[in-house]
Amino acid sequence: MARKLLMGAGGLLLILNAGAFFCPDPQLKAGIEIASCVLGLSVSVLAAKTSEQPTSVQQPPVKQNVSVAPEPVVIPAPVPPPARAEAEIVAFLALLQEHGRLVDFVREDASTASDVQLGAAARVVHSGCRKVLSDYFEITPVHSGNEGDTIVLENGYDSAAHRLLGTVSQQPPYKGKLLHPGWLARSVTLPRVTGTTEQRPWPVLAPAEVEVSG
Amino acid sequence: MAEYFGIDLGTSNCAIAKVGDDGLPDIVPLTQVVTAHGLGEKTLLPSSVYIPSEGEFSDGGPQLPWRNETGKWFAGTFARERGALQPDRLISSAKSWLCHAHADRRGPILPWGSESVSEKWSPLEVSRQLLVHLLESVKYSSPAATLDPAHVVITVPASFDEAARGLTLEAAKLAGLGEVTLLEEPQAAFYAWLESHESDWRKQVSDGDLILVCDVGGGTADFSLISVSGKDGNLALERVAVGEHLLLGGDNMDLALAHVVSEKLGATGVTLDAWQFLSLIQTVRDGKETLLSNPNLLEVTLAIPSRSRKLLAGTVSATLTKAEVQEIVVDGFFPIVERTASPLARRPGGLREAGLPYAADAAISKHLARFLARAQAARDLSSNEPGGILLPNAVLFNGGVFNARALKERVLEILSLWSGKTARELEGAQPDHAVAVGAAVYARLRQTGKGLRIKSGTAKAYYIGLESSSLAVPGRRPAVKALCIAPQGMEEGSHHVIAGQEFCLYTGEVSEFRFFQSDIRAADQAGEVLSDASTLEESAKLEGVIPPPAGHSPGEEIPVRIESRVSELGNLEIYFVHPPTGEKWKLEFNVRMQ
Repeated sequence: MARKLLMGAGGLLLILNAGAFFCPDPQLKAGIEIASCVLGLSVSVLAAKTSEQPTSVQQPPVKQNVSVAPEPVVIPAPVPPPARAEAEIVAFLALLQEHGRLVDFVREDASTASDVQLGAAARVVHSGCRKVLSDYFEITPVHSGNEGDTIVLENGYDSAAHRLLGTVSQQPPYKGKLLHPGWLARSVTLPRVTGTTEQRPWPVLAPAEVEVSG
Repeated sequence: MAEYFGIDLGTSNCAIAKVGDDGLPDIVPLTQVVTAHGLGEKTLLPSSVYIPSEGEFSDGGPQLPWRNETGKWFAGTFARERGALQPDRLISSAKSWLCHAHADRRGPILPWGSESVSEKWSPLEVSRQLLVHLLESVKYSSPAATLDPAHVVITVPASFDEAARGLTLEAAKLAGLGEVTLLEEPQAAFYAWLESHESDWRKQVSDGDLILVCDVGGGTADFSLISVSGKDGNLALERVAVGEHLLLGGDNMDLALAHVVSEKLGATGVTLDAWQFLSLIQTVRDGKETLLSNPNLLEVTLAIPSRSRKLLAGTVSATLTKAEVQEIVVDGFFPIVERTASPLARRPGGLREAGLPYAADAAISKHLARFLARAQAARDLSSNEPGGILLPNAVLFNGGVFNARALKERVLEILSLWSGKTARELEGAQPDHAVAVGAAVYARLRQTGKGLRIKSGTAKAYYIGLESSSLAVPGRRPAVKALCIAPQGMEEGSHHVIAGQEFCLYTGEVSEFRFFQSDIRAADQAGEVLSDASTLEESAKLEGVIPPPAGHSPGEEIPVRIESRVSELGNLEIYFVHPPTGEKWKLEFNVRMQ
């Protein structure tokens, strides 16, 4: 199962593993080549990023096999067209909206709201988004230590899982204070998007709701 | 290597576990529609079916890999979530209908009371489709898996009567699972506990222990008693009593709390609409669990959003206090009562809306008292020496309700009060998947013979109605007598021939057969005739035509002998045998009910 572990940066940034392509082999359901994408808590940042770079998420080129014996011709079974990364991201955002009202929260003008109102709304966002994260991700800290602990990074440390701040010499080991233990998405089991078409390449973020009276 | 599967066909959620010849059980991920545009895997499949309106999914909607027809109905997570918004199109708790003796369980009656859907489902069909879904999901996730029916166990509530058990077996057969085996859910929970404490369970139980399996889920409560006897690691387990089917559980608690919070808001001038109330129920559930699990917390703040996009302006804040949860949930549902307490049998109203027979009394502890009193009465009847008070000294908890520690403590407190001795909890139960895991372990045990088996017979005694031969009196139907065809405690694989007696059977004409049951008449033996069947609980009624045997003409009465047998699969079978010709008719319990 091809799965990269993606690293979380500190602060409010949530880095997610946006599983991108529908795998042609239905058994490798979660086996999707990963394109990583940074999703800030600000939705507009994400929207801008994806719309500016519509082709930034691509299936990597297939390596040419250098084989001596000619391989038997295999007629591939018809496979559904690959869902695009954008579709997966919008679907994830739709989950955060459905359960945690994230889009509503961010799109509303917070400048005139009181802290009481903001606090009440934040509870809705918190409990809903928390549920989505716990349902679809297994998230653990990069470091088991506590914030404030002194740690040493030896030569060969996982540099992608650590971000160094301050004066950094050319070579490890690095001794320092753990400011944030980091987050790792150990597994991702997001729903696989179905039913996208050329006219609607990604799902509706939140359907309009109509209370039927007749 | 052989694989064994345990299927928890639950009232609210389904789950499957599998286990090999040795090794630990695994939970099988269940592929399902999870959103309006996505498929995913979850360890639980909500037992909900949603029937969309025409055109709701013009493109067919999300499609399961094994289903070609799309958009006609959905089962699982999406069904439950979408169905909450359109309750008229949601089938939930179909299993409770399956054991509702007064419902037509083969008739299209669900969603109950709905006037919106074009095609309704029968409770049997819901069970069948859920089983098909589970089966296909297993095949999808492991195409090499073979589900040998001898290796599959499906669980049913201990309180399921023979008709509901028969219907469950029939649903399994219709779903393509073949002749599977049934296991009572509390026993399954116990098997799961034995499996997870393989090395040390003997330290937790000993000779003379009486264990209560207390299973309170979202919508149902189910009790069983398991006795422990023997010495030195050579322990024997026997399931000695099962409770009645109680439609009472965590959902009742959440609803009660939601009403309290809603009334509090109402007093401050805030009125919640139906949709806010819906989200309040969910919020209150989380709040309740937080308060019951964290003794230091005095209150939690709840936020109830409106459906408008104005989240900041439209969210209502409310508080739920520890005192309220204590009063409503702990003292309301688990009041400290006397051992002799008895629940209200029914609400005082003379006329009841048709529907599921929900428990009239919310006090689970009163139902528990009644269960123990009945179990004791049954025990005293069947044994010659009068025993002491029958009270459990250990409890195995199961069901989501007992994620809250305070509720476990309350049950133990009540039992300790009743018996004057400390009742203890069997530690380390895993409430979410225990039933499926235990069923898989039991499937393996049945085949390999390795492991300790809980001895269990039929939980009830069964009777068939017998028209008495008496002089005709105008305007009076003769009293119906009851012939005991299966005594309480009849074990798997055993059978009874009601010898020395023959009965007259009408052939070639529509005849009515009535069945009765009792869980407090442990002394009755097969062949005993009770003079008045009305003292028993009527469980099923069936009409059928028995074709006359060769050489007899329709309308003739023929002499028959009655035989009963509890199959290896755990269901009761009844036969009429015509001795002269040797012809045999099997009476199916699971026939159309009125």
